[in-house]
This record gives sequence, structure tokens and C-alpha cells, in this order.
Amino acid sequence: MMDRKLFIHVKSARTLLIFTVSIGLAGGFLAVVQARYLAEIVTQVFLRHVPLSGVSTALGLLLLVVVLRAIAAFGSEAAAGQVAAKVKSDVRERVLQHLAILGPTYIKREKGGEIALTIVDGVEALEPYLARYLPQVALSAFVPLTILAFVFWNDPLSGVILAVTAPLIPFFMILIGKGAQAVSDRQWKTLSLLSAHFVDVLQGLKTLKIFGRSRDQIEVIARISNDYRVATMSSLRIAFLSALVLELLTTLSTAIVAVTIGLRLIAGDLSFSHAFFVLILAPEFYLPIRLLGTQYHVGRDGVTAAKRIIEILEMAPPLSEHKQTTLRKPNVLGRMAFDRVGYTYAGIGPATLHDVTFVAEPRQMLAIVGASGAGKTTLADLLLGFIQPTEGRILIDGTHLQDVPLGWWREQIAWMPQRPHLFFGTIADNLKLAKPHCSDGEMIAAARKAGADEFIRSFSEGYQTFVGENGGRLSGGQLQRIALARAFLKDSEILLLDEPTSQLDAETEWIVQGALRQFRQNRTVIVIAHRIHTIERADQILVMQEGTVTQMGKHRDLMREPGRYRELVLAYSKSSGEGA
Amino acid sequence: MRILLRFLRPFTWLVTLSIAAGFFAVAANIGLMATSGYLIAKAALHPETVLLLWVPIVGVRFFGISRAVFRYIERLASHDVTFRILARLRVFAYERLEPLAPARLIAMRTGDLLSTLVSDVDTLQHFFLRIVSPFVVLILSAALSFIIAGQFSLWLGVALVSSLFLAGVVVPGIAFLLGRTSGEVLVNLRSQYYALTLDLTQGMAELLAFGQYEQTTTKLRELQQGISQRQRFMSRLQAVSTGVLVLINHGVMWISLVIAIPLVANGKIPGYDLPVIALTALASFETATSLPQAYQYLGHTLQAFSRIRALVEAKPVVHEQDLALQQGQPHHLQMYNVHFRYESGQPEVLQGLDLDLPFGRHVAIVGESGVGKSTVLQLLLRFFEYEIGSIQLDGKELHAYDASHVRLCFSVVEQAPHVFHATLEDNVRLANRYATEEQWRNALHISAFDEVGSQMIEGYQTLAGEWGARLSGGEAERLAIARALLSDAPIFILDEPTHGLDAITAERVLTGIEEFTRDRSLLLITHRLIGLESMDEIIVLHEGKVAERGTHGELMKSGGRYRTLFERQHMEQRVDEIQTVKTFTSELA
Repeated sequence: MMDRKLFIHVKSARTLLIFTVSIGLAGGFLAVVQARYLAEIVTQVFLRHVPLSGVSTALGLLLLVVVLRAIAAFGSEAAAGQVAAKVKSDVRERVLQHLAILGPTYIKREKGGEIALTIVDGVEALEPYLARYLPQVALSAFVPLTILAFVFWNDPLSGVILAVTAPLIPFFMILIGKGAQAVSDRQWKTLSLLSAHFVDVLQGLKTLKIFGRSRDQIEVIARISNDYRVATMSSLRIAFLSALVLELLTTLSTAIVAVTIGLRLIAGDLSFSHAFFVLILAPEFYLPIRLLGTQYHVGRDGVTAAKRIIEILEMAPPLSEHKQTTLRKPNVLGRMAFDRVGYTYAGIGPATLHDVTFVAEPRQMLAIVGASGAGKTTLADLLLGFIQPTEGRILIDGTHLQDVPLGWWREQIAWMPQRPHLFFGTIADNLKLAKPHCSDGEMIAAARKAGADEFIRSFSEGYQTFVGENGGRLSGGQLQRIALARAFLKDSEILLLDEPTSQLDAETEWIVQGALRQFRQNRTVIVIAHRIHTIERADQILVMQEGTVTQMGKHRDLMREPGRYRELVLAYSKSSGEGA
Repeated sequence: MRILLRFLRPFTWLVTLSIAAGFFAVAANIGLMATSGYLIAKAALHPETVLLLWVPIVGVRFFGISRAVFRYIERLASHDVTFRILARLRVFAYERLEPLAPARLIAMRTGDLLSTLVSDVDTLQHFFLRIVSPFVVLILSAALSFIIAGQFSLWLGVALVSSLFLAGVVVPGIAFLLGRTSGEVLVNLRSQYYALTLDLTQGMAELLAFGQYEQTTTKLRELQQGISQRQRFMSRLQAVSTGVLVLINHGVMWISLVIAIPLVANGKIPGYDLPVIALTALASFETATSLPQAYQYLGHTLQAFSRIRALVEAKPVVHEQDLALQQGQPHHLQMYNVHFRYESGQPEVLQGLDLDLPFGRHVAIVGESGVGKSTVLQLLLRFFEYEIGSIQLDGKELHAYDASHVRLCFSVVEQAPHVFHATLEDNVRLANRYATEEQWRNALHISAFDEVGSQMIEGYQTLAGEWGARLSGGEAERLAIARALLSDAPIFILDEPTHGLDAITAERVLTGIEEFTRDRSLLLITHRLIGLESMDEIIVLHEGKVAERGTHGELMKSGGRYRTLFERQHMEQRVDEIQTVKTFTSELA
């Protein structure tokens, strides 16, 4: 089931399988020929007392077979490696493409780290599965059958012994394997959780230290690792039990074959040559099945990884896929309208947004205010097309947003997220993300507008300063200014800012306000904010409360009517204006 | 390698068991094949009675059963050792990393840390199972093969041992050396790939919004090409070495025949030993097949180990001292002329800060972002070491104390608090496991975190997403405040506590905190000039220096920097307020 799905998703996987199986089969056939010559030579020398010269032709042929076997071993391994590399890069390619379609809201819910682990290590685990385990499954059916035919030909009774014991092996394997697979699935999950826990602890090390809890984690890590050991050992006891049964079956039936052959040799019912031939082949008969046993849990890891990969690949996009039915680009400077828009996170209780209706006029500034959790950021996600409304529609100049080419649409928006992610690289790298081929002058101008130039220059390496994940040593305000500069640098028709000044000091905010005033001359600005300065000059203010718009209008008008807006503003003025 | 072997010491018994069982399993296989050969050869000579074959018959059965059992024991023991090593390695790595945080870890990103710790530790855990054990078993079984083959002829013994040496040590050794550089590059590429993937998954929103997603996947594709190319080379190398091993394995059987046949013809060894010799030669190669893998692991292991060593051997920025500090007491905190720079060559962030915080006093440090306000917190928490000046706690130098004791004197609201992948309750209670129900409720109420909890369907048992994704900035901030209140130490230090909070909540929370800390010390670090009227002292920082200090009233009167900042922040509000009041009064009138 899983295999077929994988083959459908990744065509190169099939080639890999066919190649390795056919070369493996050739190797099995050569093993039979080798046994034939070996038995022949030993019989001649042992029973007929032929000297070395008498068996030289047979020895020559034996050597040839040995060389051919070596070549077959080389060939199968080489082919497997070449194709496996292609399979892995194909799979990663598919997953990355699909993640783009799933979008950031999917990743936020799942675990970023876990997905990265699946892309890197999970895909790597496919190699042993596809290049070794699956071919071995095929070989463990074909090679023993070939050998069995030859054994029957030489000594039917031994053939019967092998034929009777052989089916027991898959039987036991299926029996034990089912339990082992369930355990192995769990093991993969534990491993992912374990590494997620590790990242979590490392990222929060500072917080843990502040509260004096960082040393406790030593014990927690030891305990979790130990739990992992106990859990894994219990799974391995089962996995190895299958190996034990297999091994017992194979060695015991080799022993039985040897003993029965021996007894019939005494009676003279069997020629030594045939007997020795059968004895050499007995271990070869079981070898592919035994190898399957040893690669069983490696294979199962691959299956589990494959399952996770297919799960991601077949994960439906958050909602209806972006349709992009129109080739006409709507006028960006047209009106942007939300028409009874609602949004519900699948499975997470009540609607985040409901019945949101408003119109943003071009070249105007729209401010969205409201308490934390009122749905302001969801509004931004909708506008960026990360999610699509579960109810209602968003119209851009009369065109349904879902019909607009998404890539083009996002180009029109310069966005500053609430919690900006800084990428590993220099500050310049991070800024130029918005406009990769811009000049340094442009970059610096944008930084200046965001009030970031000064502090960036205060670093000894300036714009070439390396910033680690989440900004490293940058303060919250500095991080925010870099993100703001990034949005300014992009310089699109629409500026979408999610709490742009929440961490800025008065002086910087002053600078930023100036920049914003400049921008709104010829841009549409949508700003989500707590701060009054930012809001009061807006052409229109949306007051959001519990997922919907409760008030709409200009600052002056809103101040006149009793309601949430006046409460917010008065509270702010009171807390900041007292004593002045 | 020697250091790695030290990780084995606590498990000597298990290690011995595993190696012994591994050797006996190999020996049993040789025994099985040799006795079987002997059995049928003797039988072919038609002995007078079956009883003569009784010993080899029993031997064949014994070896058949014992091999499987030994193999089972070996697998269990060796894997158990492996996981025990893993647990020790993880703890080892964490124990070494913990003192480095946060100062030394800033430069390394978590993706890299993760790849170093998780995957390197995972690599290292196998060093016994895949390196030590196969080598020791190879040596033991080579000795056994020599003894068996030597019975027939010295040359046979020599041929067998030397081919085992060739197949087990020389060929995989050469393959390893040839593949080494590629292997190193490969590991490097993979860790780059991992780090970039992590950037991609965590920063996807930005990448999409800025149209850079394709760019990043292109970069990943390029890395993948490099990885594929190296992996193809490695697999070709492995294919050659596998081919050569098969050649040696079966070739030595052929050589044994060539050596033994003349001896049989001469009558030097009996003919019935010929099948025994051929089968022994084939069976003794079992161990050599696992050695190529052992070499590969050896390479990975040494690399992983050197990386982990580099990581854990970094010197902590802070020198640990062990002067104990009485907990739960009122403390007096003083700073004299403190200067600080993060790295030599960088400008000083603090240039002579004085601060006096006797027990019960409330002090605020204000100034724009980047003036070094938060650095004060970093120094007090002993995350960084100050060099010039003095910070004293109860009259003794701060760096004389045990750092963990120092931290317990403070209740801290940090900037950008980490939200752990755990329930909301566990996230808050992290600060104080023994908090009473009353403390718990009080902390939730003052921080307004109860509003967050009550919004969740599962209340405080709701899991906060991996990176706290389900909590907004303001919600995370309230979580941090609740934590600080719960930890309830004598000195409260709040670093921008109202960040991300709307005006109403910010005001309410700040008032609550000031009330709560009435009989505690409070150090408020902020750029938002609200709630400062009741402060005993306000220190205004500008470019690392103290610009002015005094109470709110004094500073407003003196008309310096504070007043300018304050007015700039509040001017528009005041205008609005006046207007609003006017409107109201006119409405009333």
C-alpha cells in the first residue's frame, strides 16, 4: 500500500528496485554454479583421489564463477547507490514544493523542527528501505526458489526439508513483524519528540536559567533518554526475536539436512557429490531470508518515514486551493473589500473571525485596533493568502482574491509580521530578502527610515553583522526595526504592518511615524496597532473585538461615541498622561 | 577514541557479554559448517556403525541451536549498551552546554546546535555496536580460524588469517581513506541542508511574503546536488569494496582448495578433511562483512566527536564561584561605575552606571532601545561578566557568589520569553514548583494571564505550541509576568514588561505589579514612560551613560532628557486628551 503510493509519487524508485533485484538474482544463480563446481572438485579429490592437475579445469571455472560473483555484488551495490541518490533528491523536491502549497499556517501547527527532520533524516531513511530492504524482499522470494529447484534435482528429500521450513520463515516474520512495526512506528515518534524536546530545552535555556531550572533538565534528559532506551529495547526484543526464530530455523534445518544426508550416505542411498552440493547450498538457501531479517527493522524505519512523507505529500492544503482562474491582474490601487469574511481554524473551537466587512480605499491608511486575540493577525494572514476565508470573500478591485495569482499578489504587499523571523546570515542578507538585487544605498535608506541605521552601524561589523536565529543579541526593538526596514525596502503598493512599533522607544517611533506619513502619500497602508500615535491619523479605523468589527470610522468620530475605542484611548491617555 | 571508550566503562559487564556472545555466535557457525562437512565426508566413507557419527551429529545440532541463541544475546546486550551510551552522551553534552548559555550560544543557531547535538550524539551512540564490537570479534574469530586451519597446515592458517586481515582491515581501510574527504564534505553539506531547511520551515511566512521561497528551495536544490554527487561517489566506493570482499571471501576458499588438494594427494591430510577445509574457509568470513561499515562509522564518529568537543569545550563567559547566598532574605543591590562591552572592539554598552537598590526600593531605568538597559539585566543575572566597576549584593561582589544562587534572588520578566512545548500551567509553574493555590491564582490575576487561560478550551492544560506559536506576543509577555510573580523572589526585575500589551491591560498589569512589589525591591527597565510616577528613582540612560536621575516630579521639573522623551511620547495624547475633555465638557454643558 505504502510502497505503491511511494512509487506513484516518486518514479525513480521503481527503476531502483528493478535494477537491484535483477542483479541480485544473477548473484543467486552464480551461487548455485559455484556450489556445483566446488562439490565436483572436492568429490574428485576426496573419493577418486584425483591430483591437482586432474581438477585444474574445474578449479579454473570455479575461479571464474567467484570473479563473476564479485562483479555482480559490485554491480548491484553501485546501481543501488546511484538510483538511491536520485530518489532522495526527488522526494525532497516534492516535499518542499508541497510545503509551499500547504503554507505557513500548516507549519505553525505542526512542528517546524519535526518537518525539517523528516525532510533530512526521514528521507535519508528511505535509502536503506528502497535500496536494500525492498529488493531483499523480492530476492528472498526468488533466490530460494531457484536454489530449491536445484536441490530437488539433486536430492528430493533435502528439497522437501528446505521447502517445508522455508514457508515457516515468512509466516513467523509476518507474525512477529506486525508487532514490531507498531513498536517501530512509536519509536520514530518518540525519536522526533525527543529531538523536539532537545531544541525546546536549548532554545529556552536562558529562561530555564533565570528560574534556576536549567540543572533540573539534566535529570529530565537522562530520564527521557532512559525511557527511550526501555521503550526501544522492548521493541527490539520483539524485532530480534524474529531474527532469533529465523536463525534457529535456518541453522537447525541446515543441521537436519546435514544429518539426514549423512545417514543416507552411510546407507549408500546418495552420492557424496550430490550431498556436498546440497550442504553448501543449504545456507545459501536461507541467506536472502536471513538478510531480510537483519534489515527488517531498518526497512521498517523506512516505512515509517515513508508514511510520514506521504502524509505530508497528501496533506490537503488548509482550505480550497488557490484557484488562480484569472489571468487579469486586478488594479492594486483599486478598493480592497472584505465581504462578510469568517475564518475558523480547523478543529480549534470557535471562529477566529466572523462577519468581517469593510472596505479599504486605495492610498489611504487603515488602522486595525483591538485587544490581543481579537483576530487582527488572522486578518493579515487572510490578506497575504496564507489562509483562505471559510466564509465570505475578499475582493481586490472587484476580483475574488482566490482568483488572483498569489505570487503576484504577494509582490504587491510589503509585510512586517508581528514576530519577525530573522534568518541565519548577516543583517544585510536579512534586509535584502525583501529586494535581493537592491543597492546598498537603497538598503541603507530603508534602514534609516525604520530608525535602524544607527544601531546597525554601532556594531563593529555594521550591516555585515551576523545574526543568529531569532536575532541573537538583538533586542526586541532592534529586531522590529530590521523587520520594518525589510518592509520599507520592499516598497510595494500596499504596506501591511503588524504591530510595527510595539517595542520601539519614543524617539525611534517618531522616526517611523515620519516614514509612515511619507508612505501614505502614495501607498495603501494597513496597520495593526496598539499605539495611539499610529492610529489616530488613519483615514479609517477598524475596532475589532472577539473576532469581528465592532466599530469603524475616524479617530475623532470614534472618540465621540461611547464604546471600545474610547475605552482603549482613554486608558492609554490616562496611563501615560497623568502627572504631565 | 580513548575518551569515547570511557563511556563504556560503567557497562563493562554488558560489553563483555556482548562481545563474548558475538564471538561464540561466529564460532558456532564455523563449528556448524565444519562439523557438517566432517559428518557427510565420514558418512561417505560408509563407516561400519552409525555410532561413529554420533559425536558430529550432536555437534551439528548443538552448534545449530547455540548460534541463534548467542546471536540473540549479543544483539540485545549490544543495543542496550548503545542506548545507555546515548543517554550518557546526551547528558554529557547538555551538562557541558548549560554553563555556556546564553552568552556563548548566541553565535550558534539552534538549527546547528540541534544538528550537532541530536545527530552527532546519535552517531556517537553507535561506536560500540558498530566499531568496537566488530573489530574485537574479528580478531577473536581470526584467531579461532587460524587454530582450526592450522590443524591441517600452517599455510592454510596463514592464508585464512591474512585474507581475513585483508578483507576486514586493509580493503575497508583503503576505501575509508579514499572516501574520507567526501564523507567530511557530506556531513558538512547535510548540516547546512538541515539548517536551511529549518530556516525554511520556521521562516516560511516571510519567505512566501517576500517571494523568496523559490530562492531558498533553489539553494536547497543546489546543496542537494552536492549531497547527491558525494553520496554517489561514496556508494561507488562502497560497491568496489563490496565486490573485492566477495572476491576475497570466495577466493580464499579457492586458495584453500589449491593448498589442500596436493596435501590430500600426498596423503598428508586425510581426504575427508577437504570438505571441512572448504566449508571452514567460507564460514569464517562472516565477521569480515561488517567491517566496511565499521570504518564508515569510525569516520563519522571521529568527526561528530570532534564537533561535540569543540562545542562543549568552549569556555563559559562567566567564571563559576561557589559562595552561597542566603535565600528568601531581603537583599541590598548596588552597582558602582559599571562599564561593559559584549566583545572587545565593540563600543561600550554601559559607561559607568551607578545604582543603589536597597530592599523595598523601586527604581526604573529608562531610555531608548539600544542604550544598554537590558544589558543591566544580563549582568545582574550573571549571563555576562563585567570587568570594570563593581556590582555588589549585600556588600559582597556579585561574581563571588554561586551564579545559580544569585539568579534565585531575582524574579525576572525577560524580553522575548521562551514558551515551552508544555501545558500553560507547566509553563507558568516552571518558575516555582511549590507555589500554593493562592500564589498561583494571584499571579494569574495580576499578570492578566487568566484572560489567556480562560480563552482556551482546555484551560491551563492547553499545550503551548512548539515555539509558543499559539500565544501572541502579548500573551507570551503575560505568561512571563505570571512566571515572575510566581517565583516571588525579593528583587523583581522587569525588562519591558508591557511589550505587546494593549493600553488597558498594560496599565492594569503594571499597577498590579507595583502593588505586589510594595514590600519588595523593584527594578523596572522600560522605554515606555508609563507608571513611573510612584518610582523612588528613575535613571535615564543615554548612549550607555546616565543622562540624569531623580523622581518623576524632579525630572519633569528639571526639564532635561526625561522631560523631552516624556513629552514626545505623550504630547499627542495630551492634545487628544484635552480635546476629548473639551468634547466631553461641551457635551455635558
